[in-house]
Amino acid sequence: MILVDLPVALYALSLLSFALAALAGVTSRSASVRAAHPSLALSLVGLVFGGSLAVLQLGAPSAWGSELVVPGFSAAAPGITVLDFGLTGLGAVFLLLLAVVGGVVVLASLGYVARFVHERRGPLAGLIGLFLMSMELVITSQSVFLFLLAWEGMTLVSYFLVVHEHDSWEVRRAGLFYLVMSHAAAAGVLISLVLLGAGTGAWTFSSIAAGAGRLGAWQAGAVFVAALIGFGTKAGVAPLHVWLPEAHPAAPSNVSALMSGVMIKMGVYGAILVPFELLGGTPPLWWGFTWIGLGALSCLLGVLNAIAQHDLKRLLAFHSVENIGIIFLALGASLVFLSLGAPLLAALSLLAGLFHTWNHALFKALLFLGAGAATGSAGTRDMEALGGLARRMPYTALFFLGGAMAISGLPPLNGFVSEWLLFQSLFGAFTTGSLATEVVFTAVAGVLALSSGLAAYCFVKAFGVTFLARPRSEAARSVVREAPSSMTAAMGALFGLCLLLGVAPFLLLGPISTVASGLVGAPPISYSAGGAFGSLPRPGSTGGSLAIGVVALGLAAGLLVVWLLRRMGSGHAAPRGAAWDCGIDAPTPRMEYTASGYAQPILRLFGGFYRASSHLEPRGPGSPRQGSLAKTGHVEVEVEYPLVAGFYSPLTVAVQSLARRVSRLQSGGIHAYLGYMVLTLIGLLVILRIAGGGAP
Amino acid sequence: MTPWEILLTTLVLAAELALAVGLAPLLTSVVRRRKSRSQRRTGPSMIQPYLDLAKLWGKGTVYVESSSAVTRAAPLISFASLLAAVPFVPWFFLPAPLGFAGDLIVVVGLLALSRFMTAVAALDAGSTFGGMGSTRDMWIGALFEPTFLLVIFAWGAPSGSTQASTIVLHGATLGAAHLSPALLLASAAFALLLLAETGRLPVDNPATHLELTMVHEAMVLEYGGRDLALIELGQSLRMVLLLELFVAVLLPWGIALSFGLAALALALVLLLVKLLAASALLGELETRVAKWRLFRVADLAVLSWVLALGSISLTYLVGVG
Repeated sequence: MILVDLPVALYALSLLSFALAALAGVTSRSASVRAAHPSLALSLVGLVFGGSLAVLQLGAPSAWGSELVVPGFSAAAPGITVLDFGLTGLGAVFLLLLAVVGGVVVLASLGYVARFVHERRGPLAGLIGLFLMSMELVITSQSVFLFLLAWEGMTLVSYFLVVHEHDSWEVRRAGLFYLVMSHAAAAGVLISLVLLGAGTGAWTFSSIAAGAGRLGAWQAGAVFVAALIGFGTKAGVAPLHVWLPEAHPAAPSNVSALMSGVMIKMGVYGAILVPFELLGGTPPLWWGFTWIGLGALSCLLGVLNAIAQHDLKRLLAFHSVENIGIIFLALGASLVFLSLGAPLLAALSLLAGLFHTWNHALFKALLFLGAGAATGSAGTRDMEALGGLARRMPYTALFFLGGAMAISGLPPLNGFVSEWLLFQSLFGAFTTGSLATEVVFTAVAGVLALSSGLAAYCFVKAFGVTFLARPRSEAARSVVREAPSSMTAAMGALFGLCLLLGVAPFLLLGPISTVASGLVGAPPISYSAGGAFGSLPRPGSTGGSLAIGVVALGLAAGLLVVWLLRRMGSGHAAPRGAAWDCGIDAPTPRMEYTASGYAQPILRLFGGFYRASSHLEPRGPGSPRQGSLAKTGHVEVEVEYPLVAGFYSPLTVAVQSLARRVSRLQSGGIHAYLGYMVLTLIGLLVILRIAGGGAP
Repeated sequence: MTPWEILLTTLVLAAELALAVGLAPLLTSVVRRRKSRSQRRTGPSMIQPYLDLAKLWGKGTVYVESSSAVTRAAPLISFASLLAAVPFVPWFFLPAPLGFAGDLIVVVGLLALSRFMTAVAALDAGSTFGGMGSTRDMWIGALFEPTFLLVIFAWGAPSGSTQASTIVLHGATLGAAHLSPALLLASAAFALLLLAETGRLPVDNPATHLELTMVHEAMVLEYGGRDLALIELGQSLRMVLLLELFVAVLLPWGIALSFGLAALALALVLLLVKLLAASALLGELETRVAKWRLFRVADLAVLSWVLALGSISLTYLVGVG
């Protein structure tokens, strides 16, 4: 009689469902919706099993940080443990995220895949199943080799998803760019984990964590830097983010939602895994400050670039860079607090980072789905050609607006709560007594406030130009129908979650804070006075408190009163008229503010950053420009990306020229290859002789 | 809390809401009166803002043909979020009635929500003015958001709290030592923020209707009737909120700490005096400066950052008390 305990059964069933989903999706030859639906449904089942496993782990009373509550099971190869599965508390936070956001996006895909019915393309649904499975494997891998395999699998599957619409040259180019960057990242991950394994002599995560104390400062530092490059690239931290604004717009919108919502969070998972769980101990100060520096850079670079975009999905992709920056700020602050021996504050920062990871996943998936619904119906991603969609797609508009408010950090939505937590932990720096930390953290709070203000700016633009006023083009006018009901339902669910976590954050903060406290070895954060979310403990001070539910209630009460007052005694519906036109002519959509026009004040203020240049070409019947008067004309504003032009392009050129030189080795003659083999053999023997010493 | 205390706290909450909304037009009027007097004009009657609001409330509304539900919802949300911010600011009684539920960062969030909704709605009509006002207003808001946070950090560092009640209580118990150089620097930064947030000169001219210079007026150009009344009242309320926060932190003395009748009466009188004086000062300032070019406002913002950062560095160097 075989007894299988519940977690193992859930895990196996989850993986099995994903495998079946992939099989169902890949094998069906006919590219019809009916073929895609069973596959997506199976993925959904897999996510439900995976999510249950995560809930089981988070809900367990002894679920303390790195402790393995769900028993790992390993398949032992002779001599060395190769495959080790298991779920840590940290993993459970991410697995639940995968289940929730992934589930909603799969739901949205039910309607979204209909768009690709008549096109002969790859098996989108099957690949989504594989993609979800690979991410679950990344989270549940507890040994170096399995983790690397799962990581590579995730990269490859996501590449095929990015190039789904591969008949366009831009998509193929973006895909290649993504593939190359991802493999550079994978190299970082590989180096980091192999260094850890070699240094500790152990290859499972639990034994690495146990032996990490034996690593020297230099070794630990090398592991940290390699992990930062590897996982940071996947997460999209500046200056390693350049693949992100290329790959996200190229992919279908449901895939963008998955990638931006969940996949880049795997980078965050890895970034937390290495220093907090595997290396452990008290980190040196420079680790935390490096993360903070890169985080601050990502925040500003991401949001400033986002403002300059008028491709809606590119804009959203740059905002992922900004939000990953916020997450890294929080994680960096946590490391610094840990170095300074303030575990409570470290737990608070880590909590802020983990909570923001969740929040970003929710609202970014929502925004990508909304953008997909809007741009898909209109057939263009150019905001300058959209407009007026709110009246044709009211639900999409409402939910997109909700997501826009959440990402801008406005109460009573979830983005506000995680930013509030981060501000509180930064404010706590003054208790550490380290002047440098106090000053840096204050400046960081300023950067965070600036980037959240700029995010609000950007999303007023994004929402207003896309959804409000009148359609700016034939393409936008052609939209007559709301998005498919599965998509609006998915967006509604995500918006509901954003609101729920904004009003009642303790629902999620409770379990996450247990994990966060466990990771940094702090006593659990208690939520005392103030009901839902009261004063957070801070040594020697009262701190700040937030019962966001009360704030939301006040807001709702105020809204109700004002609404009733406005209604009172004004029975008939308000008439409609034309907008004020200065008495010239009826306003046309061409008089509306454009996305570029909206961005102009920021472009001008940060001109040095953008190196923006504009060209004005007067056009029309033989009209040279008469002063500033031109009857008709065409203005083009170009924004340079100094990072790409100054670093990545030269790097590419250098790699290519090196490759050309190396390729001279390939003469094609057998004798040359035989010669290489002999030389290699001799070389290896020499190395073995020198390094191996007394080898038998 | 006993039922008696809960009742009293509820009464304080109601009184503060009524006070804030009721005072808002009066303070706007004081600013205008002071401004016209120093320009040797008679100026409108002191109750003119109330009359304007009553007139607007009685009028009907016309919406732009192409506008969506955003236009109708925005004035409501915008006003409600300002209203919701009132209980988090100390008025005449400590602790603030809902002080346990949120700190000054909540006030920043609620003010930002109000601004966001107005700016979004400004794009709905599809006229050029709306877009122009919207982009400028969000631009100014984004530049001054760091100021607000840094000032909160600077104000909060001595007491170790971001709660308004704790900050004010800490200041009141310190006596004259409360007026430290660090506090003055931070308050100067806050004063600049106040000018920007409430759209006063030199950032925005509330009295203008010239297309090229207006910011807030351009955003709300398409509104009329009760919506416009709410927007106007909201603009005044925003000013009262920030003015009160300013005087409460800078001059915390006199605020009532218990439910004694004498203490409450004194606190109310002092509150009125402080607010009227601050408004008059604001009016005086408005006569002295001209409207700045929009892009020069960035200098003002950077100046406020520097002041706030200077204040915090000073606090840290001297050591947190």
